[in-house]
Amino acid sequence: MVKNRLIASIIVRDGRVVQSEQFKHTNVIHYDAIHAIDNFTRWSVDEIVLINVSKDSSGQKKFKDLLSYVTRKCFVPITAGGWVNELDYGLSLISSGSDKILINTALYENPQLVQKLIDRLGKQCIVASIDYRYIDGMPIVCIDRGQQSIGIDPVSWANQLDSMGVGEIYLNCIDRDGKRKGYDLSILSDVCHTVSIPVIAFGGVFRWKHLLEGIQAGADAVAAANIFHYTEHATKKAKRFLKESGVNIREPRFIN
Amino acid sequence: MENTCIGIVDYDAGNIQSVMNALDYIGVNNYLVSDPDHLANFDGLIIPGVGAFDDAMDSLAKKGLVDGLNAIKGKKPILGICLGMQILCHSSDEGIKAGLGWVNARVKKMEVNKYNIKIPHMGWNQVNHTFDPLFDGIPNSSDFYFVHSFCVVTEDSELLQCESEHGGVFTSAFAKDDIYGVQFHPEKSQDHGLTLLSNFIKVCHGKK
Repeated sequence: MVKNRLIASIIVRDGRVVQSEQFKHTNVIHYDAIHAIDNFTRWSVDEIVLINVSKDSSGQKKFKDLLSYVTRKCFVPITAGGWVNELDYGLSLISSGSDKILINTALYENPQLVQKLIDRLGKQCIVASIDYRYIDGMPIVCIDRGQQSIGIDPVSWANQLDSMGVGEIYLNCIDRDGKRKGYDLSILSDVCHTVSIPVIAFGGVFRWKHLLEGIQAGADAVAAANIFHYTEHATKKAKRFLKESGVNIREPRFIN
Repeated sequence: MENTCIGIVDYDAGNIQSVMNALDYIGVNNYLVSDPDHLANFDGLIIPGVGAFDDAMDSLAKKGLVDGLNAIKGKKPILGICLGMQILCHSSDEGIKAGLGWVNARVKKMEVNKYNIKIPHMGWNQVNHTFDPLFDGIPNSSDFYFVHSFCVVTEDSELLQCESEHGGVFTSAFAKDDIYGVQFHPEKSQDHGLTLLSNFIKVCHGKK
């Protein structure tokens, strides 16, 4: 059986790793992405997601250069995204060493682009990012860095994306982002039990037990960002906890 | 090994950069090769690949690489990765084209026959019954990174093969003479993957 995965999400603005809280990215964490990736891979993380949250598309080239630099010595799978708004840019992330592309806004605004990327790269290369927040008590999907509601609930949207032919779902509840309360488990569970493709849970992890809750809710992979930057041997400790809790996960060890 | 030179067969099948990065890190000379006349210049060849079976065979044929590879078979060690392994088989459920047919095996769609089995098979999974020289120094049942929806099956008992399981048992690596195939991505499987690639390069170096 394929194992559950622990994923480190690294959020980058203008080339620097930043902290995320409800999609505000004010705190620069004091090292660059290469050091974070070096540490997390040594601490046996299973996969990396690198997200460009720059305020406009002018940061595309800088992000791509960063990607080329970090992937030269990163031998776990890496997904890169943010501002994937045209075919050439999407393809250039792959030729810069990324294994998969994370797409969010274009899923709604430009499904033809997504289809072209699927045709060119195969579905396994396309990770669909879903951000949602609660509006009047109802979970609603938002695009464009969480700023624009599309009036669809995340479970229906995940189903539509599965039918569209994406390879994975990366599910994030904006209200939980940086709030340290764990994942939004009920929606996570609904999405996991509805779609036929793997689901990655993200948003709100502060304790290792939050990761376990995500897997128990049905997530194939669990991701976190802020928490991993502030703990020595973070991803190894997180995996150790999961392994000891009975999760089928790759052996946590120090890898040089 | 520093003067060993590996050709990475470039037939527009994506994700070649990761393989180059891994070989650079190991410290072996590597070049993309798409001209069939240049295949013989290398000490060994790697056929990478993600995508669809028929597209891959079409693309290889268009570049003259089907004939080129058939001509070099048996003369140089060759390692197929993921789709690159599948095209070494004789046929695939994914398409109607014939594969290279160097290995007596076929490619079938992975079955979604049990609760909780998701396709693509994406993530780390155990590789059992490992064999030398490819897995030399790698503990049996180590984890490697997989991403695929079709898998290799064979009844050929002569073939050296590893097995993995995802909704059913499939062949996750095989070897026959100096033809090697791995369904997983060694270039994305950390230390064990890099060791496997180094082992392949040692084979190439030994055959110079």
